[in-house]
Amino acid sequence: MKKKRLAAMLLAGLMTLSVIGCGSSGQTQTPDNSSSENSSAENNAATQSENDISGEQTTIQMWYHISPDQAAVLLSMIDEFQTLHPDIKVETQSVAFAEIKKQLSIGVAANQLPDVTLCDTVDNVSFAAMGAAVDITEEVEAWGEIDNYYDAPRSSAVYEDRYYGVPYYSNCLAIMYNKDIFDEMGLAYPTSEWTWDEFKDLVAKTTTPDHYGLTMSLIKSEEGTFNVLPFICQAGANWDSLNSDGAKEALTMINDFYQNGYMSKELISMTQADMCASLFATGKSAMMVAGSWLNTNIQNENPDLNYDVVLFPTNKSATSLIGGGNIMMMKDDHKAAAWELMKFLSSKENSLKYCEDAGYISPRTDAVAESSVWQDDPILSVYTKQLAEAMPRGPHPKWPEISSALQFAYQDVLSGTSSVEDALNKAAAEIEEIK
Amino acid sequence: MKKKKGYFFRKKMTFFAFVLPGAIYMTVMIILPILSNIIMSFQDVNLMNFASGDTHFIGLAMYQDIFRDKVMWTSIWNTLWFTLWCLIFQFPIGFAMAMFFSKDFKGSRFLRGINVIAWMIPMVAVSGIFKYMFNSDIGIINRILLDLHIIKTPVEWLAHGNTAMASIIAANVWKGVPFNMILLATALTTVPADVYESASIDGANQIQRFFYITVPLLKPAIISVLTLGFIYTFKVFDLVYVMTGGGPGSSTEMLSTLAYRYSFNEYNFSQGAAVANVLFVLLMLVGVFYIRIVTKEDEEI
Repeated sequence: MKKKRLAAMLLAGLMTLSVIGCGSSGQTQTPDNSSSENSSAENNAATQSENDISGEQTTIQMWYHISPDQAAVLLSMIDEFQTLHPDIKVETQSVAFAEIKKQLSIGVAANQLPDVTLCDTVDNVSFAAMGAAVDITEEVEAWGEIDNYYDAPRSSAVYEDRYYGVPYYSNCLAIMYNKDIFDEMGLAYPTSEWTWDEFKDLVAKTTTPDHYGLTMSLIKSEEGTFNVLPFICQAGANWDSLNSDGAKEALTMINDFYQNGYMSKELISMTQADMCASLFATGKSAMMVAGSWLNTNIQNENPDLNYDVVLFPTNKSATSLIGGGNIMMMKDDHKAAAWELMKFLSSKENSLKYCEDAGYISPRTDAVAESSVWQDDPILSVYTKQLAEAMPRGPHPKWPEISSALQFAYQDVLSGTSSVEDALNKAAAEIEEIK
Repeated sequence: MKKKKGYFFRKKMTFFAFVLPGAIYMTVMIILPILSNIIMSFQDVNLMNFASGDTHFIGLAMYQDIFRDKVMWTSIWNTLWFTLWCLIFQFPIGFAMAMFFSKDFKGSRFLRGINVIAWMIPMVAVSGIFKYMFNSDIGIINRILLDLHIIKTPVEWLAHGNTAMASIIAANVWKGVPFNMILLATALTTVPADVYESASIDGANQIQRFFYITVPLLKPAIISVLTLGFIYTFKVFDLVYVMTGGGPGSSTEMLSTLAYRYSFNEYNFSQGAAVANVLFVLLMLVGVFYIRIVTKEDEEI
């Protein structure tokens, strides 16, 4: 206990040392959860047999990192949950999207964790390996609904054959294209069976002084990894085989696009939201590697844009990578109540309702099957198909380090510091060491 | 006797009462975090053992580890290179502007005040604006250079190592000049006018007056401006973080951004702490150098 306090202090100290002047610390206060600590023992008993101590409430805490618009539905569901379970009180706390992993890490050290939290899919196994996320394998198996989930999101919650979370919402990448540009140039729209050769051809052809052929994030962060890695996977490689021919083929293709001016040089420092706003939404790019959530951005930036979406082109496969969020249990003080909440939020109906509203895809196949949006919407239905062919990033507890090695590889290649061969061999050696 | 003892006791208490708040503040806010950072750099704290507290002292292994990585040397070199060029530009420009605005012409005070605004704008905002200015597609810098026919095709400033470094240096110089100017201008007001008068009677020209009167009399201020400027520039973080994120590759990676990346992107807390300590030691050397020069100056006076 004392050691953990100390560790928290150390981390806080480190943060002050190294982030002086960085104004984005935002909502960093860890909520006070004294009410739940006081009577954890009795409360635990209370949830297991409600009649024993009538009238006493179990208070559980939940953190979420989704934007306020998207959280509205979640919060109304939590209200509904509390009406259904008058003995459980849920306190919610919003954490900035980019901060949730840091906040949870600090929470681990300070022993101030929520009972339940949302997190990014890639981070689920990190928290499992840390021993911070609660093993809920028995609950998940007793629940019997996990088989209804898509493989990729489901496996993002598994660490060493045990479940440490439940997928909450999913998304994946595909290729958006500007129909007007294709029409103007007299080119046929890409179809879902297109190949890498056709893709390369179209990227080159749609590049003119007025617009670029392709836009994808090449920034030195997880967003860049998310955009680059699908091509590596399509060429038959993955993060653990970056020195293979497939990975080299993929990075060579991206580098050619970049050096030939088929992509903006600015992409090296652009996030997905940036590139969507300044390139694709304004008609300055014919195609864009994009997730379904960028739909909302386009609607805000330029609702008149005439665009559509198509599956990734096929090399060895046409795979994509998933993004999204999982729900984890971080404390087992109120395991029954926390699991009750997780089950409630993950039910077919609620998953459908939340994901439709927030512009994501439900990780549940049975929810997707019932949804008119994901089945019939011209854009979202493509993402639904792409999700079935998607795979998770990793999963690996040290994913941030692996991702960082890949980021250096493509940035060194694109900025001309290193050849494709050297950069990938170096990254592969680093990843070998991390493993 | 008794009265005297009470007096000393009271005097002692007064002394403590004055020192204590400062001492507590220093200990809690500065010394403890630095100490814990140093301790952490000798351990192997990362995300995996951070929760369990199962950390070990590993001596200097973390330092060996970071110095074995090429990116560490690149960062040290980048930080020095960046600092050097920032000082080379911002100090003479700041000095020239200070000389200019200390001439008592109409509106000089007002214009000097306006210049300080650049220094007051938050670094994050400056970085964001410069990032757009250096944008190759829509940036104003390329537009101006193209219109003046200085360049034929747009330069991708932030996409290549050297030009990215030049861009962040330019942004930092823009922000650093007013800081140099205001300190030197204030110092200039302390130089008595009659010294110049007697010098010109003795036949000293402008250049001689500058090098034999202005510079020696401003020496303490010049040293302060240069060392403070060095420290301020050396620990740059937000500018690089926003404009290039240390990229492309590691071509603008600084010690501060590297420490941040190790700690908060890769969650190797000890590795980040070790890099931060290297930064700390390097700045400490500059600080000691500064204090020694200042005390020497004081003694001479």
